[in-house]
Amino acid sequence: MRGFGIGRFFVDSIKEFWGSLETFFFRPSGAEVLAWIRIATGAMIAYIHLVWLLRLESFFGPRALLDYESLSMLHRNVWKWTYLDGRESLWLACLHEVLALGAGLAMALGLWTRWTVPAAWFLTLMTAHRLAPFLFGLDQIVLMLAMYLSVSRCGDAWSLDQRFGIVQGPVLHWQNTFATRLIQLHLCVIYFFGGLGKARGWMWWDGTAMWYAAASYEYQSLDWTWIGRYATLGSILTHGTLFWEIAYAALVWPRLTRPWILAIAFFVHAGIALFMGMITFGLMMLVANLAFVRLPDPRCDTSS
Amino acid sequence: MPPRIEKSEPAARVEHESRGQCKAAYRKWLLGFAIFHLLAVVAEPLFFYSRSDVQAGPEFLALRRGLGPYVDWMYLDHGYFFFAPNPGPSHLVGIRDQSVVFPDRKEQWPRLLYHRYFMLSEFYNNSFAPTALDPQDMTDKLFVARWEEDRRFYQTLQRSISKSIQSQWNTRGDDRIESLPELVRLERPLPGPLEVLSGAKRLGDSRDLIVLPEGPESPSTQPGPVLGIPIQGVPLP
Repeated sequence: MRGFGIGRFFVDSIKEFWGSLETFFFRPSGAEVLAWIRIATGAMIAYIHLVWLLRLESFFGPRALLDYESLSMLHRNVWKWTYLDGRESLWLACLHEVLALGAGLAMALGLWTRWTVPAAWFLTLMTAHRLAPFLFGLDQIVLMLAMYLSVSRCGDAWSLDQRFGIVQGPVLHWQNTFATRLIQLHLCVIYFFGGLGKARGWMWWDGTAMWYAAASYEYQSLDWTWIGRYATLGSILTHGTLFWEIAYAALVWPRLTRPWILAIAFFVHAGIALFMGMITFGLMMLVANLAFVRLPDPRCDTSS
Repeated sequence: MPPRIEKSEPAARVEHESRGQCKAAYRKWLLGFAIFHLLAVVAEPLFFYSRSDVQAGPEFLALRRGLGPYVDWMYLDHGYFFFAPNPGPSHLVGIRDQSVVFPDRKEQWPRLLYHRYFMLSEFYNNSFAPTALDPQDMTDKLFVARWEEDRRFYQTLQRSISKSIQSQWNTRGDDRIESLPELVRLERPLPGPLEVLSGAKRLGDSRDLIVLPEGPESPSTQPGPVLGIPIQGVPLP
């Protein structure tokens, strides 16, 4: 009887866990927050491709900084297929970039989102594989968001699709929850490993990392070397960033701690945007954090 | 403001909600895919962090290899090493006998364009493989094979960047160079707070740039003669 009881306990626990998992990923939710993320991500995709277009010849075509031979060697042991493989003509690259820019704009405006969001993601991905050495955190975040938005119904709100009746008004849909959960979990992975990486460096422990970030001329957009005069403040900010990043994955879920964690995220990324010359990256990290914002919605309660 | 479904319309609400439900038959497949995808998301950082001079964690190596095509193509191959383990010195690329360095805030605008060039200069420096190895390293065949491969890639990348710069200068009608421009790796060390706050050092001062050698010799701290610029307390053009 005892063994039977334990067996049933495990079966019940598994069923309960499965039920929770289903609720976590599939309970229908609205598209409003994802629509904000879509608008920002689409606009950023358009901007990214506009910047590639500014120096098209340096990035694509026969006179590119990274030619076919270099790209082939770089991708020799990895699966990075792209039709922009270094042998592309300039007009093809131009067409590709203009299409990507257009897809980004359409995504931001919410026009034909079922098609334009995946198209913007795919076209940006093709560019990313072509221009791998030029990329940084911005591209990682933008592609992550566009990928998950592609499986959502983010065009159901704040969009021309809705305005013109291409989609039926904002309905609760499991795809919104599914995409939101994937963004949230991916973001937790980014912060957790970002924090672990910092924990391996001595500057993040002796409190000088903030100073050395401020003293990096190539990153600097506003001079904040004044922080060197306040060693204790610099150290508190350094340690605060380290512990916040590592704890993010755990503390962003409970309702009690979530506002605080998101508030710190705001200050960290706004600081990166303003002082460290990465306004695009800082902005997109803030946008990604919107995935944890829950609006009061009379139709459902997905705040759990 | 999007129209809201009134609470006083239960029938409409049920209809809306049922339309947005996932079919039970699809859920397990979608959950399976979500788990697979999330494994792919963590595969690269786990592998990246578990590497040492001795080995990479075998289970993480197997995970990364098993999910390789998906991780690579979906652009999930990131260790998320932002400013880690420590903020480090910046690396730039100069051209020998020319007062040209990238990244350059004045030449590359907007800021995102500048950052693209900055990433290329960091990538170029990370790809560096010296012209020769120390004699004691030559005894390790695996090490030598790896160095040869790295060296080939570094030279190919070097040629590619040089050709592109030359070609674009020629297009502009700028005949400053006839042969391929020679790239020079530069490093800007991070100064301590006392040096900067006392006024002894100024961020962005070109005199602080170190010319990194192509061989096993020591770095040079004289960028001026190499780049063909006057050594002054001004940022490089």
